[in-house]
Order: sequence, then structure tokens, then C-alpha cells
Amino acid sequence: MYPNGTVVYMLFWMAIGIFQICIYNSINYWTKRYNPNSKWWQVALLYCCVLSFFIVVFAGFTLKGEYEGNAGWYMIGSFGVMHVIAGAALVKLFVLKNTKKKYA
Amino acid sequence: MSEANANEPRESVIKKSEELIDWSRRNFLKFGGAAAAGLTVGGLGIAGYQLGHSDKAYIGASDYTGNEQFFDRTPFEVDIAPGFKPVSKVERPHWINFFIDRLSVVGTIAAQGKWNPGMGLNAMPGPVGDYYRKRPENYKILLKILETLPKQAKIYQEKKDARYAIADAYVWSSMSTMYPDLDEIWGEMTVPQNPVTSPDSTPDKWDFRFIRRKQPLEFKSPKHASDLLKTVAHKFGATLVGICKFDPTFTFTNYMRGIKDEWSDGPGINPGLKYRKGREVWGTEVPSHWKSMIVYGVPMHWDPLLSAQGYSTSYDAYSRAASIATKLERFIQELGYPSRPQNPPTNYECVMPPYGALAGLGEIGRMGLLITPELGANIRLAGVITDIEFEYDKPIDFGVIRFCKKCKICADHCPAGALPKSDEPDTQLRGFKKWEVEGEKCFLQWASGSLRMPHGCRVCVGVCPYTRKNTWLHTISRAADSRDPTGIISSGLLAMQKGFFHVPDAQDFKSDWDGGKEAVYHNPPKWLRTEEYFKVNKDWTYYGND
Repeated sequence: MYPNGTVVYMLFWMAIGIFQICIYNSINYWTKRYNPNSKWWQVALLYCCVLSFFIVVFAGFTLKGEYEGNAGWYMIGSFGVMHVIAGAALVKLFVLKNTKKKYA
Repeated sequence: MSEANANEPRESVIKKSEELIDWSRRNFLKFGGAAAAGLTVGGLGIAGYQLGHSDKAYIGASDYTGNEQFFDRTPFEVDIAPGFKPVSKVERPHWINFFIDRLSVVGTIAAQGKWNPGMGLNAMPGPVGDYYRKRPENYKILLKILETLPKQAKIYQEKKDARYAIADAYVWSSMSTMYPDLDEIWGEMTVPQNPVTSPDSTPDKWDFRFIRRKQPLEFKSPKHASDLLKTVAHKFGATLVGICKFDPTFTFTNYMRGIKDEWSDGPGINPGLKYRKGREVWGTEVPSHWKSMIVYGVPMHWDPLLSAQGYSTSYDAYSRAASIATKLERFIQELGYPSRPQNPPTNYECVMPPYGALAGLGEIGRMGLLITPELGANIRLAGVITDIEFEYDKPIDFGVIRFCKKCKICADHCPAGALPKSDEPDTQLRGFKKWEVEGEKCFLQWASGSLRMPHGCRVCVGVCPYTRKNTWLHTISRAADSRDPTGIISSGLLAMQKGFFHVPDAQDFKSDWDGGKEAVYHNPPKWLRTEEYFKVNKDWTYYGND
């Protein structure tokens, strides 16, 4: 009954929670490495973009499970691409901002 | 340990170890995040699919606790139900306004030999003749219906049984526990199968027939009465329950079950209680003990519903609603109070959707059906009238009519073209502004369906954006939309609904012998596909979402 079962269900969401800590720390590491002056809220914003992308994937596959395959793929295709673009813009803005100056 | 290592200064070893640990930590930070992101995407993909696919997301499938009535209605309570602010003199409906009764009487006068289509409209006797003479365009559709009915049965036997055998059996088995008297249903059945009763006397006798107490048990308060009756209705299987003061505005005139009228029997008509409706015998009187109405609803099973028209049926919900009505009727009379069920398919004196709105279960949408926060339009209503004094529920406004004004998906995809497409409710119906469904057109689609009898259509119910599983996605959407006074959320949701979701064209929903593809919104579940269980020659394809 994964992930609708009881214990497995809880373990699953605990694992997802641990993954989020890893992802946040990783974003923090990379951001600091390329832009030591980056602020905490910039890291948080980058993570929110990633989290939001996860929710889009979750929503798309929920629709797929409801026999709404069309809607599921369109959801991931449209909102997913929007997130990738937004994420790239944020990286450019917050992470790679000072790289040119540093290596100029 | 090697000699070189052994001679290495202790500080150096510690430094190297620290560097190693730091390197590992850094690497973990570098690459662990990417791995975690990959696992999250995979995990949420599988979890989302499972949640969407789970039968547990179908509301009303298994719960007898009332927990499935989860929407907090309190913030949305209003004094007047949306759409029920009078715009002119309010009138009660006459039975002739109800298409099924019109058709029933037309069938009866034909069986009695008083009229047949060859005699023409002017020769049609009684109230139905008067009705159709005022609406000759509806009469033309009626004639088409009468032509189509035998054709439908013939085509089913010749061509459709292999495909729809399970769906058809499911319809008839559900119907067998639904009608009070099955001695004459479509001229096929001969043996009554069901304990559900229908009145055979006037309300002052029938509604009291099980009362054995000299005095009714006195409730501690109206709130206690509401709490108990709602709990019991849920225990009997009702998914949603509300209670309103009985308002005769939505009760038929010239109509009362249990009383013989000129269309109750006669040559060619098997005597049956379902024909005793007091038409034109009863007047406008409302029994004095009709003071409160317990309104409840159950959903049709979701998979067949979403496979409308061919694979769907209302009768599974009808039979459960009728069974609950019978139990609730008896329960109330055992406590010493009179009671009178109002249950599907035609065991009513009342038009149920308005009572559902008055009892705060939902709002009436474009397709004329009640749309609820939990079940969308997938609800079959029934009720029990009594004289118990309750703490009444209030109507709610959670944004359905505002949404319907913009949406029109039901109207755009109605294979019968029976639903109005105007932005605003445009018909003045007995004192209220409403969207009016064209009964004859709607029934013609029933009669052109793929099963062997006109067992309904339900495409409008299935494609309604409110009729969705209770997954987090739809629950959040509905909750957010209900609380948004600007309408921005509903516009966004609607844009996604129309852009992302695939719904077959209206014409495609029709039977292949009626110019369509027998398309469905969702392809039928495995258990309704004959080719999965029987040795049949599958010569059809499915036109629906998988």
C-alpha cells in the first residue's frame, strides 16, 4: 500500500523531509562557494523554487494517477519549464552574480 | 600501521583525518543535494500517482462516520441560498413541470388507448396535451423520443451487448433494490425484489403507520435532535446530511403519492403503487406535520460515473439512497414521530436540489443539480420529512454559481445541447432566476444511449470541475477558490481546466448509431470491461482518458 500504508507512509515522508535538509544545505554550499556574500534569504528563495518544482511534479503525477494523464503531463510540462527558467534566473542573480567580477 | 605512518607526528595524522572528514562533508554537501533532489522527484512522482490512483480518494465509498462531510461550512453560511432570491411572484411547481412525470403520463395514456402519436398533438388529452400544445417544439422532441426508445433496445440486443453486458447487468441489479414495486418496470420485470415501499394511502395515515408510542420521545433540545438524526443518517450510509425547515415552495402541487388518479391504472397498465400519485386529485394542501426536512446524499460510484454515458448509472446511488430513506423513516417513527421519505428515482413530492441548498449541502449549478464541496455534482439526494423540531442548517455560498457563470464546461460538452450557455441565469423559473435544463432534449440523449434502456446520461456531472477525487490537489483548489472574493483563483483554475484536461467533444459522447464515437470522459475501469472477463469479440475502441 505504499505510500498509503501506515508505517511506510510515515517513513516515506520522514525520508522526504531528510532529503529536503540535504537539498537546502547543498544549495547553501554552492551558493556560498560562488558568492560568499550571498544572504540567507537568497538561499531560501532558491530552495523555495526547488520545492515548488517538486510540488509541480507531485501534482502532475497525482493527476496522472487520477486517469488525467493529459492534465498531468501538461502540468509538469508548463509549470515545470517555468520553474526551470525561474530557477536559472535566480541562480544567475544570486549565485553567479559576482563570478564575473571575481575572475575578470 | 606502516613504519612511516607510525613515525608520523600525531598532529599531522589528526590534520589529515580532519581534512578527510572535511572533504567528505564538502562532497556530501556538493553532491548529496543532487541525489536527494533526484530521490525526492522520484518519490513524489510515485507517491503522487499512488494518491491519485487510490480508491481512498473517492469520497462516499466506505465511510459511515460522517467524517467525509469534511468541509467547514460555517464561514460560508448565508441567509438566502444562492439563486433563491425571489425576482417575481414565487410559485410552487406543478407536477407537469417534471419531465419524467410528463413522459410517464404520456406512456400511460398510450397504454390506456386514449392517445397515440398518429393522433397528433391536438388529440392529446389532459394536462400533458395542454402542456405540449403550449410548447410544440418540445412535442417534436417527445415524438423523437418515442421513436428512439424501441430502436435503442433493438440496437442494444443486436450490437451492444458484448461491450456493455457488465454495465447493463450492474444497472439492472442496482435498480432491483430501488423501486418500490417492480411488477412493471419497462414492461420487463415480474417479481418484486425490494422492501422499499411507496405510499398507498394519504399522508395522515401513511406517515404515521409505524408509530407505536402514545407520545413521542421528547428530545433534550433541537440541537440534540439534529445531532442524533444526522449521526444515524451517516450510520445508515449517508455521505452528506443537512437539515432545513420544510418549505413548501419546492413541493409539487396537484400531486401526492398513494392516491389513485386517472393515470394510476387502466387497460394495459399493471397496477402498481408507483403510478398512484394523486395527479389532479390532490390540490395544493401541505400536510400539517411536514415541518422539517432531513436532506442527505450519496455519490454514484465514481469510476462508472466518469465513464458516462455508456458505462455509468445513477441507480447504485439511488438504491443506497432509497435504502437509507426506508431505514430513516422507520427510525423516526420508532421514536414516535411521523416521517415521509423522499427518495429516488421518482418517489417524491418534493424537488430535492433546492432542499439540499436550503440545508446547506451545496449550491445549484448550471446543470440544475446540487454541487457540493465534497462530492461536486456527484451526489444523489434524498430526504425524510418529519415534524421534529431541529436546529436547522443554513444555506451556504461557497462560490459555485460565480464559477458556473465562467465555466460552461457542462454546457459545452452536453451531447444533448440541453444545458444553457448564457453567462447569467436567464430563465425566470417560478419566481427565481435560473439556468433551465431542457428536459425533453436531455431525455432524448438518455434514449439514444448505449444501454438497452434510457438509463440517464450524467456527462454533465462527470465533466464538472467540482466532480473530482478528494486528492490534495483538488481539495486545496476548492478551498482556496471558495475563499477568494476576487475570482482570480477560479479564473486561473478554469484556464488550467480548459487548457490541460481533455474532455471529448459533445458530439463524440453520442452512440455510434447516433453519429458519435461513444466517447467517455475516463475510460471504463477493468471491472466494467466485458473483454476482461468474458469470451467476447472486442471490436470497439475506447475514446477517453487513461
